[in-house]
Amino acid sequence: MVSFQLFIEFFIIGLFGFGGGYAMIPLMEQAVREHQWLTHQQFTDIIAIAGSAPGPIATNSALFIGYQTSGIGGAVIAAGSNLLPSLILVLLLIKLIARHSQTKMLNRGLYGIHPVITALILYAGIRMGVQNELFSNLKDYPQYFILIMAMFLLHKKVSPVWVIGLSGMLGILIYGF
Amino acid sequence: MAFQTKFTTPPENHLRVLLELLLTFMKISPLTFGGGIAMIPHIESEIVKKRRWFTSEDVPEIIAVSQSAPGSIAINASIYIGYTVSGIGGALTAMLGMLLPAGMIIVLLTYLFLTYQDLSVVQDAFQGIRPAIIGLILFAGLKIGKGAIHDRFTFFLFLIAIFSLGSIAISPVFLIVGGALAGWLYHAWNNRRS
Repeated sequence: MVSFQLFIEFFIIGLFGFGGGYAMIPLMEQAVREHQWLTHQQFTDIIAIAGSAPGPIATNSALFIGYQTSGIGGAVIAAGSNLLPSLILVLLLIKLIARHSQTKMLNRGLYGIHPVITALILYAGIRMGVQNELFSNLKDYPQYFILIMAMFLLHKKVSPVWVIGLSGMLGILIYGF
Repeated sequence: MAFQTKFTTPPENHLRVLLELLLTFMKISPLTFGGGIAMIPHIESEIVKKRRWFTSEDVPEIIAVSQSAPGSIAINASIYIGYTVSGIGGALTAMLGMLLPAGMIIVLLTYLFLTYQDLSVVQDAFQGIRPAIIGLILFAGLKIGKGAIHDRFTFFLFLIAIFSLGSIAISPVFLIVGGALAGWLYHAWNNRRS
C-alpha cells in the first residue's frame, strides 16, 4: 500500500515539477507532510544530503524518502516514478517542437506557471524554516548568520557542496563547544 | 535537424553508440553539483566537441526543451540527447548514465547518515546545516523568480499564489494548473485586444 502511494505521489511530483529540481521540493514537502512519511527535521536533513551529493537534487531526495519509508524497493519506486513524467514529456516535446503552434501553447502556460513555482519554493523555504524552529528562538543569532552567509556564497557562485560543508563545520564549532 | 540524420545507425554500431552514451553521461554526472543549468557547458563540450553528435546550433533547442519539461534539467537533457542519438534505448541509457554515479554516492551518504545520525558531532553539524538548506531553497526560489517575474501580470500571479498559500490550505498542484490557465487566458485576451 505504501509503495502504491509512493508511486502515485512521486509521479505527480515529477509531472508538476516545472522549472528544474528545486521546483519539486515544495511538492515533496507537501506529500511528506500529508502522509507523515518523515518529520520536518528529517525532511530538511534529506534535502541537505541530497544537495551535498552530485546529481539531480530531486532524484536524490526521492531515493532517500523512498528508502526511509519502505527500504530499497521504496527507493527504486520513488525515484522511478519521479523520472517517468520527465521521460514521457521530453520525448513528447521532441515530437511537438516541429509544430510551432503547440510550443507556443506550452510557453504561454509556462509564463503563468513559473511565477506560481517561485511562490511555492519561497513559501516552502519559509515554512521549513519555521518548522525547524529557525525563527522561534530569536536570540539564536548564528542560524541567521549561516542562512545569510549561505545565500551570499551561492550568489557568488560557490558550489552548494562547499556551502553545506562549511555550515556543518560552523555548526560543530558553534553548537558543539 | 540532428535526430533525423543520426537515427539510422546500423545494428553493429548500435551497441557501441549506447556504450558511448552511457560513458559520456557517467562522466558528466559527478560534475553536476548544484545541477541544473550550470552543467550545460559540460554537456555541450562532450556532445558537440568530443562526440560530434550535435552542432552548436542544436544546443539552444536542447536547453529549451529541458527547461520546458517538468523535472531536473540535467535529466531532461540526457533524455533528449540519448533519444536523438539512438532512440528510446538511447534515452534510457543516457538517463541511466546520469543517475548511476550520483545514485551510488547518495546510497553511501544515506548509509553514513543513518549509521551516524545519533552522534552528537553529527547533530551539531546538522544544526548548522539546516539554516543553510533554508538559504539554499530561498536562493533557488529567488533565482527562478528572476526569470519568471518580469511584468505586472507575472508579479500579480506571484502575489496571488503567496496569499493563497498563506491563507487557505491549497494544493500546490492546483496552483500550478491555475498558473497555466492564467497564462493561456492572459495571452488569449491580449491577442483579442490587439
